[in-house]
Amino acid sequence: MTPRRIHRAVADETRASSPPAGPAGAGIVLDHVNKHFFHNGTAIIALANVSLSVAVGEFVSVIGPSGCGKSTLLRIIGGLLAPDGGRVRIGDATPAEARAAKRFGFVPQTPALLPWRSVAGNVTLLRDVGRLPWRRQAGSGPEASGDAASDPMALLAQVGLGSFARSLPRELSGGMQQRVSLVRAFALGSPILLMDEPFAALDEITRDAMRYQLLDIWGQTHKTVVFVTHSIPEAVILSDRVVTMAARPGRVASVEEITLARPRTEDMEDSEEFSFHAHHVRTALRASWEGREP
Amino acid sequence: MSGNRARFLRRGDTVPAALAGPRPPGAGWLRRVVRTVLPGIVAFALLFGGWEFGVRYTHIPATELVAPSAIFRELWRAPGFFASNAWVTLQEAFWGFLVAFGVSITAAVLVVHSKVMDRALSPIVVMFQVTPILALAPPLAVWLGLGPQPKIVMAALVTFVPFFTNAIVGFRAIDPATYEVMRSVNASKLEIFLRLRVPHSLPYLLAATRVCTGLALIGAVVAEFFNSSAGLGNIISAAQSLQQQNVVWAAIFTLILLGVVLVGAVTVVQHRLLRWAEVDPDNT
Ligand SMILES: Nc1ncnc2c1ncn2[C@@H]1O[C@H](COP(=O)(O)OP(=O)(O)O)[C@@H](O)[C@H]1O
Ligand SMILES: [Mg+2]
Repeated sequence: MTPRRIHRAVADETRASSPPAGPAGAGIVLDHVNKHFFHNGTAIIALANVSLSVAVGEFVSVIGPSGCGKSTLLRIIGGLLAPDGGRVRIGDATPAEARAAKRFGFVPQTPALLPWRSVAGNVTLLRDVGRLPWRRQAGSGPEASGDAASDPMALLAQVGLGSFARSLPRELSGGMQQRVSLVRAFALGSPILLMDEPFAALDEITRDAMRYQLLDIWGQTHKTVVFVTHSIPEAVILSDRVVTMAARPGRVASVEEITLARPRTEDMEDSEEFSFHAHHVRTALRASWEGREP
Repeated sequence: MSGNRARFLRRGDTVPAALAGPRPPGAGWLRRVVRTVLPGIVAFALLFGGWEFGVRYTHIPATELVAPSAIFRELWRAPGFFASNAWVTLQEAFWGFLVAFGVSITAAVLVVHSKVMDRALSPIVVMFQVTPILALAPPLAVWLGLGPQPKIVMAALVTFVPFFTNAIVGFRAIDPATYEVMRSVNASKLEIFLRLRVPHSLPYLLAATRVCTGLALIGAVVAEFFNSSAGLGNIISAAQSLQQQNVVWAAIFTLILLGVVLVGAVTVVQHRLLRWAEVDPDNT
């Protein structure tokens, strides 16, 4: 309990020193969350006693070996999966309520674009959901339309895809498609972003560039982000905190506070401070992989 | 991705021609049409030429096999007769096709959204699959009589299974990650159906439409063989009993022409609607 409180306090401090924080009331709290699955008759404990909290406007990365429950964690936060036990709160709501209010922007590993919709059509897709022409749901979801930071066309231009608005997804490279997927989540105007290894399928060079594009568009709004990754440099350069998970059963092994100043720049990846944090995360990851606490 | 590349290469190979010097506008287009259509024309010419030649120089009696020239002469003699009977068959096939489409889509929607319906309907579909449906023509004629009903039912029966199986595959062909993204903003089942499943099923449904166009015609014609007063199947069975082989063959040619035109129309629609699809719809 105590370390968690300290982390929150530090996160709160960070937030206080940064310009007006993003949307209010959308912190994430997980308290002793458990989840198991049955696979061929045997129970797999995907998450055991996971407690974690993410402050409003905080960028938290989750790193860990395959199968340690990272995706499960994200899906529980997003209200796509119910936990067996424990408590999950999104601000003052349950995950299901938050999902119904369209408070999550989800970015999966694959771009997951609709191949028949243009780039512009894909970017506005999530906004359009719940607004079928013949039964408009009044007042559901954040009213993003007037919000400059969620303007789809501006966001597309910002990630260098301004001239591709009318293209079909098949005409774009993998990296470009993934940028469209990012913009789609941001354009929803939701206060929380859940990203499940969004850059994992990209080549190393594209991947490096994507970090800074993500930081660039994130910097305007400071949404709350939970970012799952396999890459230590990616986790360190992006995050306020890096959560290392261990497998069998899936659990939080350690949490690393990243003290690098914001805005983050590419030069920072060569700094001592960066190496220091990366080393910590790597040690924690190796320890969790070997099955002992660091 | 490979589709993408193939498309690029195909575009690329017109470049040298463009570089070779100024050519009249439209010449490239004409050349492309000739290049795509010419092999088919040559193949047809060889087929009918060989047929004509065979009939003329092997002295096969006209009661057994008619030369293409005689068939075309027959068609030329009474085009209105064949056209009006084709119209009858076409209508029967069309309504049967439409009924099968409606029923199979409804069934597929139920099966995709409910495990119970899946378990209830799947055995029935397998039963349809293994039934030699054309053998039902005589009893259908007994039950439903002389009018268009038994023909419509037969056309519907033969087209039901291809539509149903393709609709199911299509509705289920959605990308799990896209599905998850839709669910993350609380999209309803209706919305996931309309925004995701329906567009995803289009390539499959159009491929099924192509196959079913021919099948519906076959169903209608076979039903007309038994107990009918009009239609190409009626002509075929009547002329057969009168030993008028050239009329039989003229009706068959009319049927072929009808099928070719309809399948061609479906192909045009396919190419219009499926520009986004990575896979060539012809290969599904
Ligand atoms: N729907 C499911 N049914 C059965 N087992 C599952 C399901 N989802 C995840 N699991 C299992 O739970 C564990 C954690 O999975 P996941 O959260 O996807 O891990 P990660 O994203 O860290 O790779 C794995 O062992 C996986 O096989
Ligand atoms: Mg995962």
